[in-house]
Amino acid sequence: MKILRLLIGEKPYALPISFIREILEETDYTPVEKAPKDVLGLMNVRGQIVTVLSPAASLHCSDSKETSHKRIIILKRNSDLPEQQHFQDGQEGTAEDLYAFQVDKIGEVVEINEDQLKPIPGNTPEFDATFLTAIARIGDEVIPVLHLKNIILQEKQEERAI
Amino acid sequence: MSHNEEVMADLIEESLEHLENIEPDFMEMESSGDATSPDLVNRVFRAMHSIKGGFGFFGINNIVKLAHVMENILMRVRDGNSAINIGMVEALLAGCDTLRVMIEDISSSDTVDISLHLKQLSAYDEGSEDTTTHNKEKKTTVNKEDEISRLPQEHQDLVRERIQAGDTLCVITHKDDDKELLIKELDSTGEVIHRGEIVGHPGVLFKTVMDRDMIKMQLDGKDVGVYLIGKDPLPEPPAVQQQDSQNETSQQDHKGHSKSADSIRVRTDILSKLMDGAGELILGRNRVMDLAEQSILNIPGVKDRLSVFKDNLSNSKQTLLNDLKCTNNKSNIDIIEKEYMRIVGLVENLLSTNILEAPGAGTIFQNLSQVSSELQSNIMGTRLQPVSVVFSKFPRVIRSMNQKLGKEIDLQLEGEDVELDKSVIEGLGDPLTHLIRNSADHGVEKPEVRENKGKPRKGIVKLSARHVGSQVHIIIQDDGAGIDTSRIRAKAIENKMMSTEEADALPEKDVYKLIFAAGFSTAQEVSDISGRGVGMDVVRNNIENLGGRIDIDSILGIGTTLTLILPLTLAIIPSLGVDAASKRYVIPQVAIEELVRVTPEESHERIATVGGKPVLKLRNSLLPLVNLREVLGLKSEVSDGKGDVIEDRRQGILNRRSLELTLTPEDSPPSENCHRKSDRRNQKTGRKYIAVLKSMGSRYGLVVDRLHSPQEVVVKPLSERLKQVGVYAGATIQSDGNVSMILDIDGIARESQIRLDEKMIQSTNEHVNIKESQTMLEFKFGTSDHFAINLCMVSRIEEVRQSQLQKTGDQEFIKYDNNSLRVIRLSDHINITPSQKDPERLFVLVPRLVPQAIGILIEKPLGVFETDNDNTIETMDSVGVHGQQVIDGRMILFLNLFSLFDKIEPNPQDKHKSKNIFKGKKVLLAEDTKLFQAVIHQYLESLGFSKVHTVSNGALAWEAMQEDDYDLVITDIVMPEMDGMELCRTIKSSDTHYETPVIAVTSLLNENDRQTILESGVDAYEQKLDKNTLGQTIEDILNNRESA
Repeated sequence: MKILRLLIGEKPYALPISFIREILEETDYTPVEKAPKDVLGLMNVRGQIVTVLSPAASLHCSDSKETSHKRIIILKRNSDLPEQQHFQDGQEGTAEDLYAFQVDKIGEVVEINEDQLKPIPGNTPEFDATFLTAIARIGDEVIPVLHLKNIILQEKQEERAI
Repeated sequence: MSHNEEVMADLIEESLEHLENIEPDFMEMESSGDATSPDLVNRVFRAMHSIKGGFGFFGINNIVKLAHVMENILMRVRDGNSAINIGMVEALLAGCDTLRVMIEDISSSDTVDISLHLKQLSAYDEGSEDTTTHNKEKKTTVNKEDEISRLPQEHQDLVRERIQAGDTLCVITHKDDDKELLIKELDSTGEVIHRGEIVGHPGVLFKTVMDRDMIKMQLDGKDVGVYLIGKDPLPEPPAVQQQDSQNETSQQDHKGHSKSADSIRVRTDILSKLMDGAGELILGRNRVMDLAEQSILNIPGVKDRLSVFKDNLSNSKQTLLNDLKCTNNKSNIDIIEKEYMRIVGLVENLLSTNILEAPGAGTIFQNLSQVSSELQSNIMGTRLQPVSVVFSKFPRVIRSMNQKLGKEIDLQLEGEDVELDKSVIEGLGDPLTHLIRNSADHGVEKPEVRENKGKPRKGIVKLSARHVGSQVHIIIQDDGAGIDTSRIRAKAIENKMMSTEEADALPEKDVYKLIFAAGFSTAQEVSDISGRGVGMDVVRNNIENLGGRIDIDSILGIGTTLTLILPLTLAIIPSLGVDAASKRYVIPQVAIEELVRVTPEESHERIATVGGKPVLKLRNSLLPLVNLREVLGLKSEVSDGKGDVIEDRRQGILNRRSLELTLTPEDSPPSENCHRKSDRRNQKTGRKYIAVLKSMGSRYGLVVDRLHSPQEVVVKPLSERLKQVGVYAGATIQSDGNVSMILDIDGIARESQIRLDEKMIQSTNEHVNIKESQTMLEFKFGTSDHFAINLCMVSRIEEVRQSQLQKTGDQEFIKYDNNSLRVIRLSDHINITPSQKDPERLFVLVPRLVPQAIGILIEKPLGVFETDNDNTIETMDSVGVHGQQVIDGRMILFLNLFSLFDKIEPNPQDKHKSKNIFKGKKVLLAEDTKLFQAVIHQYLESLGFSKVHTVSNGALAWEAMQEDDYDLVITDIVMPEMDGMELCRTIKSSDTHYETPVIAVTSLLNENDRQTILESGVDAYEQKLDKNTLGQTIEDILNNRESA
């Protein structure tokens, strides 16, 4: 599988590129009052309204001061994903609406084998398991892979709070 | 989806449609009995027949069985072998219901028990199938052997054998070009024994197990002839004549088919996508327009390139000059300097133009604009369905209720051709059914009860639909018992929803709202039709989900009227843009009752605090206020003590560019910037703009910083995460590409906890509302603007031709009564969009009661409407305009002719002005209508009175008279609290003030009124808006006093 490396806050993460619809350089969204903390706002992408999320808020990363590398990654809808892709590599699809992640920097696309994906080590506070599917081991590096559905819908938030 | 599944899906949809369509036909059959038109019976028969055939093809046995019996009954009726009776229709309707159930769930259809239906139905099918088929066969029986002998020799034995064995053998004739397809199709359901030519026609010999109907079904839509061997006479070999007749029939067939080809089925999700696309196109168009309006210099990057160009040019100039300096030729240097300046000037000039200035660009853009608007409305049109789709099921509902409840109710339908978006129509069925049932069950009384009350035995439930502006009203009206508010109050107390005191204090209109609370039912007996306490709250939710609301009106003993106010479509809604903290939000127009402006001076008087929350004094009631900034947690305003908004001003400068863009409404033509101007008008600091909002659950005033022009917006649904926020109903894309949130009116009320307050406020409001209604004339001028003026100010309206207009200087005149009348165009004096071109025929509105003789050019008068809603009339202050108001979904500007004409022709001789007699005199004005208050107050001041005090009713006037001595009282007649005549009687019968002269002013005068007014003891009465005579009367009266 191919994953895209990226920075959220200062930390490296990755997400599978097969879930990406497009990546925008423009990060100009309309903030929405009263929205939950991780919902940054709405963006008009060629007539489609996209809800822009901040994975940094979910992962408790501090926002990067540097803004010039920020990108908006628009994710595919469930209906745009091939049926078999919903549950692949620990992912559970995305959502019915269009969502996007604002990330602080994007890196290169890396091809990895399935055996490079390791389960998330238990009891490591460093990695919040709710929002991750696995750890990708690339050379000496370990890079957490984002759990898209959980970050989008925040469904397991209560569980996490316990 | 496989081919079969697709066919099945179509079949199901089609069959359900058939069932829906024939239901009213059954009702018709029942009421007309044997007088039912054969066409109708035939139509029902055909529908049932195609249901049977279709499902037969797929082998869905239960459906086929039931449909078959029903078809037989219908056939007997059609052929005159059976008489229609109530029991029969009953059984058929019941059969339809079961068919529907089975068709909706095909997979379990065979488990449905239809034996009871079959038994009931077979009672009306006595003749039994055999006899009918036998009869039919008799008519058509042919000599089998003769026919077989006409077939090709080699197949004759086989044919005999197979017919014996029970197969169907038939000759199918076709047109040559259809052959391939036909044979392919037939091969899937049987065997083609012979092809090519048969009995002298192009055709095939076909063996199958299907019966005639199925074969026809399969070949439906093809130009073929089907002849069952042994049953039908085979076609004669073609002779010239016969060829003709064959052609004729085939042509007829063809006609039938082409008729059905006029419409095709389109999947609704495709339509939705088209609709979205069209919406985008409109947005795109607006953005292109915005761009085109800007000068090229403003396009990002152009300025930079221009300066690079200038630098380059300047460098080359310098090099040239350096070279020339050696030659020391002064004139050449001058030429180069000049040329340099000229080139730079040319380029800058070129870049400061905009695309619209290019020749022909205007037309191109206008075209684009028009085409995209048309496209949008056409696509919207494809989604529209007539309300008859929903209405048609109600005769049945009422009929069954009549039977179950022993009532005699007539259902009257009206406006069934009014069209609504498919999504609205679909969502309407359940709530409407509930409301209709309620009307029939709780509303209309039993026949005996009605007779006792002196009403006709037959009750009436009227269901009607009509267009009102960009909305549709669906009205359910019954002439039943009405809603007994005392029972609702009692129930509310019983349910512990409120205390006895609270319930007693609740105004009637709000009592009705309680019906929509969850778990509320007042039906004394619970029937199986209604009264289970669930429903009305669900109805309310359903209607709100469709973006609509419900109004209830009821008179005890006379009847109840429910009005559903619905948007035409869910995708595009008329709306009003508002600003809070320089951010734009959108309010659906369906929720807006009126718009109110409160100036800083009025603020103390009109905005009060009740229970720690701000309220607006609106006529005789208090309205809870919600500040949009606060609800949304936006930066609150920084006040400089006078109520001026500093924050706002600063923001305004920062965002001027982006703001100006957002101000352009969707459909404004490219070259107009009037809306920006009109917006500046709204920008006066310290003003509060309040949109009075009404939804099912709440009524409150939303305080915003700014109001924009009304616009149509494309509603985009919110993502799951944002739906949960609760204060937004959707989002939309503005013409500059920015996203704006559409506010959820009830959500905001919930967020700010309005509901509790509202109850309390209402209980403090005990005044009875007496309002004077104004008759206004509405007319159109300019591209999209609607205006209104008080009808009593209209002398006449003349139709004129374009050619009758004469221009003298910059003024226009028209021949009128042998005089020349000056006419004006509103667009020259008020900030509105003028028409591109005058229509050939125009109208001139000639006003009265104004000193100036000026006519107003209008496009056309649109009609009159009544309004008692004068508070709205103050949301703008612009010369010539009182304000704007939303009436039935239209935004209407109310003209102030006095200020308009005073501006156009100042100082008309007003002989009463500033005479000494008014000096030092005090006058008291009692008038409740804001419009007249302002006009008369202004006029009295202009006369030179030293004090003009204005109050809004008789009681307040009497109070004021205790505090100060007035030389004159001018009073309106119709006012709340204490009317003008009572005020006058009070004054004249008092010991202290009986000498104070009273002038009554009124907008309507007939003989009766005149008499009553005079009897009250007034010194004079005058028509309200006739300033000159009013001035004269005041002068006369004061003179009389002086001399006395």
